[in-house]
Amino acid sequence: MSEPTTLSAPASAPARERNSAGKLDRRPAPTTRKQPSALLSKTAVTAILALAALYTLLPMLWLIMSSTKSRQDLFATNGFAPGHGFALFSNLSHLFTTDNGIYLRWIINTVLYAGLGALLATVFSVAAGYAFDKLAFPAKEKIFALVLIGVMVPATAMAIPLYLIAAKVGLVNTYWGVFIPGLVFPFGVYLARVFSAAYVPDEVLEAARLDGAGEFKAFLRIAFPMLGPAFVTIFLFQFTQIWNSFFLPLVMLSDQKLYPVNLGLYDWYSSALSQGHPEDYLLAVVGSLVSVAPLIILFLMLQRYWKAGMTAGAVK
Amino acid sequence: MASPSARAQRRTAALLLAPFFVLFAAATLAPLFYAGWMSLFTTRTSGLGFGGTRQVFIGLGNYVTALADPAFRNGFLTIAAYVAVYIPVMIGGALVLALLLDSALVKARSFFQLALFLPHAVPGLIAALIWVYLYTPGLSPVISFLNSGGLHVSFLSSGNAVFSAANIAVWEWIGYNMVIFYAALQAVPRETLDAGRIDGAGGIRTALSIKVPMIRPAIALALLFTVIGSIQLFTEPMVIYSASGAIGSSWTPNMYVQTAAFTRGDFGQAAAASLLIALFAAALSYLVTRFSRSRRQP
Amino acid sequence: MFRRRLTALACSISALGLLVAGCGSSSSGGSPAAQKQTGQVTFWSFVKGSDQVAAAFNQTHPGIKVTFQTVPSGQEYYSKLENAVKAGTAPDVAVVEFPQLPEFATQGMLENLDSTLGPVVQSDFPDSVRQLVDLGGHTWGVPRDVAPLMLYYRNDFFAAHKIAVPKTWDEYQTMTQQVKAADPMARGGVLFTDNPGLLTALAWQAGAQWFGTKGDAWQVSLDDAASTKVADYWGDLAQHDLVSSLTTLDPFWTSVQQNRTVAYVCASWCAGSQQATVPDQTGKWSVAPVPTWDGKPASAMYGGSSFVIPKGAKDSAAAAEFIKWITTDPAGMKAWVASGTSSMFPADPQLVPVTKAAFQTGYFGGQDIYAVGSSSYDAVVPGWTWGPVMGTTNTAIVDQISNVAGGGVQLSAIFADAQQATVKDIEHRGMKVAP
Repeated sequence: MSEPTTLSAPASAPARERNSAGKLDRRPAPTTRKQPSALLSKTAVTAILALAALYTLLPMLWLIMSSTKSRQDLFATNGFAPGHGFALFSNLSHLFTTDNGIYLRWIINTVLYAGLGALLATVFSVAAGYAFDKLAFPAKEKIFALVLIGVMVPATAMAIPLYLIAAKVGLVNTYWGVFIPGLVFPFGVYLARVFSAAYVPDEVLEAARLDGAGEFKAFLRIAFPMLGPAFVTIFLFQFTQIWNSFFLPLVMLSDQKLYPVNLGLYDWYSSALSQGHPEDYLLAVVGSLVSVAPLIILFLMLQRYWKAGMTAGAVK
Repeated sequence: MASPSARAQRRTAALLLAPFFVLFAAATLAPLFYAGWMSLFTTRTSGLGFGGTRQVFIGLGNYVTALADPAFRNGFLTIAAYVAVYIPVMIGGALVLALLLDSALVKARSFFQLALFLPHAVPGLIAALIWVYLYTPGLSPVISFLNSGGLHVSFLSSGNAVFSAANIAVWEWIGYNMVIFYAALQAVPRETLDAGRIDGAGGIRTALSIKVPMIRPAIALALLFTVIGSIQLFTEPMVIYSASGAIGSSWTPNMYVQTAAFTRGDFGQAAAASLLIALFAAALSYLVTRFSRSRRQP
Repeated sequence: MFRRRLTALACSISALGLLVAGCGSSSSGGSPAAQKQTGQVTFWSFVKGSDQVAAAFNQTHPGIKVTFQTVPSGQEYYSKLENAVKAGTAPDVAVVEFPQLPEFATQGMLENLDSTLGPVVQSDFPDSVRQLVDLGGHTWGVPRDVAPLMLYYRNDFFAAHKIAVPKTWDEYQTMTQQVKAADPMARGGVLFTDNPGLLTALAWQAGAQWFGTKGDAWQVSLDDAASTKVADYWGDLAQHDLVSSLTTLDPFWTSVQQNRTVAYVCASWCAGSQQATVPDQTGKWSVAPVPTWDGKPASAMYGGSSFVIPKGAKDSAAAAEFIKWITTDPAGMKAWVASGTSSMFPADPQLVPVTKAAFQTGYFGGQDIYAVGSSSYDAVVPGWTWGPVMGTTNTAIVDQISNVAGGGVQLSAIFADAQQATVKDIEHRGMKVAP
């Protein structure tokens, strides 16, 4: 939804505090400091978390229930209760066969736009953020301010000028028209600068320089591995951003075969009920449920990497 | 003039910055300048309008129109009210949840993380369907449930618009920020906590006096991110726009932009208004930064 | 997510997937316009069945290749089309609903069709629809379907509670009271909060003329006597909770499915939506002429679409040939309704038999709903024109309409506000407004 900014890298200062407060070696597992307090019993903590999970999952329940319903049941039954029949499998088979399986194509497109796009965007952001943090070059803060401007402008407002420019260079209605803008993530540069300040101690680089390692090599071999957590976080941010983007693909693409899943589902939904095709509405609902799956998989993968990454990033 | 090491740093910096800046120039700066250029023009026709249109240079006219429009200015008041509700609840809630998850008292950590994060993965379209369903009297099981308990809530009334919009945003973002805080907490060094424990600090005190200060950078970052996001508030109110009389098409500044661009096709006006929003966001984040920096001086 | 609003507007599209079957004859055969035999046409539409229409055309017109691209419906679509015209990437043929047509024409987005399809429009269509596409002395689009109003009601509910089908608005009000008395959960109508299209049609039916032209200036009168009468009437029904206030899509259909809405006014195209969306209420629904103020037939349109050639089209001649076929040729009309689920009402009255034959009336107990539609089409009050800034006009109404039921604002006051917003935007664009 948004992005942050500042005119100087503010968070980097506190981040450094963290370094001085104790080097970043990780505690093995939180379970080692069991110390039940009177107020926070296990039950109470679990209850609070369960309540929060109920709040976040309740609407998901609607999605799951609705996906298992037939057309009749969809509007006839309570949104949080099961329908009279169980139509999930027929809905799924309908989803994957409609229009020669175009849904699967949308998922693949989205994985390309968001997955590959966010991956490259993260590499570029981390490289740039590191340069801003650790390397000396002229007009550094002025250039950085320019990056921050990119963070401030509402992304949806950029869709139209971007489209007009893309039209001039012939990228309208192509993969590139959606893919290339996804490679730019100014907030990621900002984050990477902050992370670099926090996770890559200057002394380590000094040592590498004294050893005669080149600057680029120092970045690649020493700093980059330390920036694992930064990498994962920035990747997740940008991935969800591209995954959820709507206006840009909307104006940029006309060929359904190039759609990301978000736009394809909207296509189904937008004309379903107004034109008397409730089966398309159901498709949009089931398609949404299925489209959550890749994000869950990604999250679980990152969760693992997160811990690993953080440990790897620990400074010895 | 520069030492070999300084030259090496510059060369490497150029190398590391190049990919980002080439793309940044093409996909951000160029459209930005284009938007700035367009903001100086307006489309005019004449008479009945069937004779064609022409682009007219009006200087800062679009900026003046936006600033003089009460609808645009009031949007900032909406944002102020929204921020006052949303930020404490969302950031505070995310922090509490992260601390609880980190507190060693919990089983199924991965499950809770995923569960809380999940709304962020739900397509916006579905979020809209779900919340309109939950907010519409007569349809919503939640409202019927509350009614049966003697509670009469109208989510769509004008008094509740800010809360209803903030609720959707909290639902969507609390898990996201919780994950960020939790990751930061994982990075808190163990010696620090051990030292705290030797001092006899209890769970809650450890959390407040040791953990929270340690992850302040992450909190500051999330705060900044959230403030800027709030200034650009758009998606959540739009979800309930058509169902709520309290939320008009210019309820927030960014909705004003969207209405200008997509309903009226007045791109000059939309560009001018979005640049004003960006300016405002820049000023505000500068203040937030200043504030969080001065707070940590003592 | 403005998606919701947009989609809502989209509902005004009568563009439903239609069904046509038989055929009628059309006057277009001997048209003098030079027939173009070869070319490439890109075609944008959100109307269901557009893909089949394009395929059918390609089959029968080997020289012209039509490439169909589906687009989302609603305000997003219009924005996309507008940007495409600005960027020079516009399609050759696009659908535009009647209310949006003047805005596109006055923004310089459309090719003037005077020399290509103008004669077809003159010869094939009645005044009440021609006046929606002939603006400022030029033809800007060719009508495909119209959307005459009808009353939909649950015949089982009405019979069980001995409620008479209303012929006038007075009787309609009585009916809503009877419905509520018979079942406190049920309502006899809906005030849509996300789409002013129906309300606009009801004002039109009452004799309002929101827009007109006088010399080189627009006349805007959303606050005329007829509009105020309609606004007060519906505002009153909503405030007394005699009709529900809902958004057009899922909440509305849920209320129908759950027997909470047992009567509503809608256009001809709702018949297809009703039967497809609430299939298990087969035989329980009937249609009747829309109630009127004085008991004499009067109607208006809620939706309806036309096809245009956007400025920058690469092959206007081939585009014109395609448009002519899909709007006035029986084979073209038949292709629209091939899916068999649409109750679309063709704008060309000679093609009514085509769509009528395709629509299965079993859901409506065999009732001849096209006959109701035809008399409604004949009774459309003449003289209506859509305005040049309908996006702004509609937004101004939708902004506040949800407050009507709660008594927060009078519907007539909303019209007055919309009047102001409309005039302001027309003038802002450099057009003239007659005092």
